[in-house]
Amino acid sequence: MFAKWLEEYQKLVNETRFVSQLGTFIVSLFAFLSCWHIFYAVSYNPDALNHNGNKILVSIIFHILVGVIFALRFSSLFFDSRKSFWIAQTFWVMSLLTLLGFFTVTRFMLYGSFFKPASEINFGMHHYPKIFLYADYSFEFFASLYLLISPIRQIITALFAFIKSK
Amino acid sequence: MLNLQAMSEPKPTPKKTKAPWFLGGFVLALLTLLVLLQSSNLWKTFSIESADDTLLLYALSSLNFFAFVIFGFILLRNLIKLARERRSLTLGAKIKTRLWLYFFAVSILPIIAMAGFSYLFLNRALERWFTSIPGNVIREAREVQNQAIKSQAEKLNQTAQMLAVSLDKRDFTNEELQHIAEAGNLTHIEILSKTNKTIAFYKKDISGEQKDEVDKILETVRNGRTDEPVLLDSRGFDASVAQFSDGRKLLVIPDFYAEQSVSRMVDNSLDEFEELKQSQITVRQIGLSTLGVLTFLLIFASSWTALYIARGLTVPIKALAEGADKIAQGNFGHRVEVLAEDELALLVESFNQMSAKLEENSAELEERRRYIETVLQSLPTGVISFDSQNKVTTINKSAVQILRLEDSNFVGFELEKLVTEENRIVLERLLNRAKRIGQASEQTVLQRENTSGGADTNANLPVALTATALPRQIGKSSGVVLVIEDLSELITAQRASAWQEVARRMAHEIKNPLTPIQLSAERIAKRFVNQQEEEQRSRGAEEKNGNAANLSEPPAVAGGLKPQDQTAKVIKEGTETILREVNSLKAMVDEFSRFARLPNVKLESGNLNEIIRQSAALYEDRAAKIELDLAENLPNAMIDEEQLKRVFVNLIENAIEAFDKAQEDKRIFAKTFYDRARDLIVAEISDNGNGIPPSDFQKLFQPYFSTKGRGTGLGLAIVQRIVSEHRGKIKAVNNSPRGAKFIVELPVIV
Repeated sequence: MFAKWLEEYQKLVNETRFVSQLGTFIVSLFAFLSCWHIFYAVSYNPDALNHNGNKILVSIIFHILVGVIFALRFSSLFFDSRKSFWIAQTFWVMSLLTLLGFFTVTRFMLYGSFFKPASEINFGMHHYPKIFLYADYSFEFFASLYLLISPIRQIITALFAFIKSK
Repeated sequence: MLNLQAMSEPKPTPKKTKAPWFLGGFVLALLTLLVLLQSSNLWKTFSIESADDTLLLYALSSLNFFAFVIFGFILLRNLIKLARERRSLTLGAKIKTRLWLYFFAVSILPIIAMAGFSYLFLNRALERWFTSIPGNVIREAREVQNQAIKSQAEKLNQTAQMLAVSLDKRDFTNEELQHIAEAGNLTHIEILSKTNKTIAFYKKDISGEQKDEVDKILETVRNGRTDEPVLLDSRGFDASVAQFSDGRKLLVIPDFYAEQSVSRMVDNSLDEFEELKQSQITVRQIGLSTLGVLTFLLIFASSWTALYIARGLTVPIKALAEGADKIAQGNFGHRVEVLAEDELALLVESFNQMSAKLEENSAELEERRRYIETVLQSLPTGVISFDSQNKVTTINKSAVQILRLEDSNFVGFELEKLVTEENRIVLERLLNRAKRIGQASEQTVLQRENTSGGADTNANLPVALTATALPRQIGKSSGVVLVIEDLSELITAQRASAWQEVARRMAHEIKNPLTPIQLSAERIAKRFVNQQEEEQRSRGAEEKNGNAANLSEPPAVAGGLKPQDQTAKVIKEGTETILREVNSLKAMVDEFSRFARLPNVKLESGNLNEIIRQSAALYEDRAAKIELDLAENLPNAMIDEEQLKRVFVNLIENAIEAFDKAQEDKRIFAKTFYDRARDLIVAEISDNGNGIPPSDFQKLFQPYFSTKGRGTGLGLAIVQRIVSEHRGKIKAVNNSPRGAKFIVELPVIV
């Protein structure tokens, strides 16, 4: 029973692989863009490092961590073997935990409240030329979307696999 | 029968979907329309005038960016997939890579050249744009502006001085000042004391910002800072202060200068120029970004085109290769179902036709193979085929039975694993001869191992062997088909027939002289008895007549008998022996005669159990105990009851006679059962006697073979003949744990 469910689950996950690849690619890309955005802002406001150096460092580390984990999951989604399936699933759990960690840390440690807006991430670095996109906003938007949709997608896939295996 | 027609029908190939073409056409039409609109200036020039416009621009730029991200993702994904396919040696990966590299190499140079030239042109344009305004124009504009400011300030001062002279030593009311201000287009006029206190004033109603500026000027003047340059800078409101002779001061502020004033215009122009100069970097950055996006889009387009074309080639090739692999594995029903174009479509179609034909042929071959296999398996003759190494490739059921092999798969076995060493020599010689000359035959006796644990009637089997070489394939050595024909039944039949002939001749040749011999002996005996009686009668008469007879009587021989008596005894014994032996010979001849002329069996439906019961009943009072184990619901068989009774009586009689006299527990077992698999009724008569010596098994059913030292030895021969006439078989095996067992097999009524 479990083996059949697992087989169906793997099949469905493989069929929706393109969406997973796209989602992880976008989150990873925007994590790095957002990180670059922080560097860019800091380059215009070097004084911000004196006041919020630790917070900026933590933020940079979390952005890089999210970017790397999602990049790894993205690359693990290109293999077909049974072993790589489990590796990709492990990276999925890790990416979800990393995102949760990112939001928890940025909200509670950096902003002081979970419901504070993301614009607080500027750490007082308001005066710098804006670039083509607000990379930090975009990253938070896509990361939140991923955090919400990806578990739902996994649950729906598991349910479909259960129905199909019966 | 396989439905070959249905199997050979080509499966419908998938039709090409038209949706991508429609989509492509729509996008192309849209692009053409955009180009036409742009080139004909029909479209309104877009300019950012409101917050909505900014939002629209932001949305469009975001859309562009996400399109860029998506295209980048697709390109990256394709390249990673290509790399993975190359690593896993996927079919078509190489041609895909090669095509991608070609397209990339062909397109990258013009793309880079275009990007480079575009960047140069952009730079040149920007530099020319900003350097085309000469520096002296700016300087002159500044000079003109300064002159204008100076002149304006002088005029204002002169006006204020003139008013101060004409109005000296007078006191003014506010109304009078209002008249002066209205006449002289003044926004504000005020009389100040020596200590800068307001004595009288008039001011026009002006807007908030202008009022603030006027208030600032008033504050400056009232603070005594009348020589501040800001009062006469020709920007916004200017102010001039003139001195009365009594120490009072007159403050005059004319109306606000219009925006179109030369100074303002020059200021605006110079500010705009400075802003443009500052935004040059931004423009350059935007230009570079646009060029980058365009370059990337072109690279993406060329890469995607390469991969698309490669996919169009590799997908059918891959499908064909996989199809060929499936066909090679024997899956002739496989069809290639991919979209292909031009010659590839033709190739796919040809491939499908070929596989359909192969499937058809395969089905036909399979049917033929099954037919041959069925025939081969049902043949009573053993057939074994060997390859060039004398390894078994096929073997039929009869061969397995003849060679007494275990029931398992013998394919691939070598000859020495199938037969004994003696047989191997014979068979190898035969096979080699067949390989040399095409066909070889030989009659021999196969030495077989006894699978039942002891010797039996068929341990050595006379067979006819025929080996035929298979047609030789190019580059391969030929195999051989060996046909093994069991001659035992034929030989038995021939032997029985010969014995019948012998018996018939013996009956004829021996019986004829026996009767005269018997009659002659009887006549001699009778004559001699009569003669003796006459002699005794005459001797008695002589005794009565005198002694003369005593004198002529011959002397008695040893033992007290007279010579006449001795002769009489010899004659009597001789004739008795002759008659006895003649009777014995007659009995034997009768037996042979019966064997030779056994009555034809009259087959009728009957039950074997009943015959065995009747036969056993005849021996109820004998020393041996007969135990019956007769199957219930035994099917009927076509039998001649009298003849078969003779068979079982004979077998039971033989069993009884096989016991030692000293043996105490003498048991005979009669068992019947129905062998459903072979559709035979089997009757077994076994005993726990001495059994049959291994050397006697082969001769057991031969006529004139007996181990009893008496009798004609025709009993088992007759038994076998009767069973044969019932289309049955009889064989003898050793019984377990001791004794002998005779097995009679009869066919049931169909």
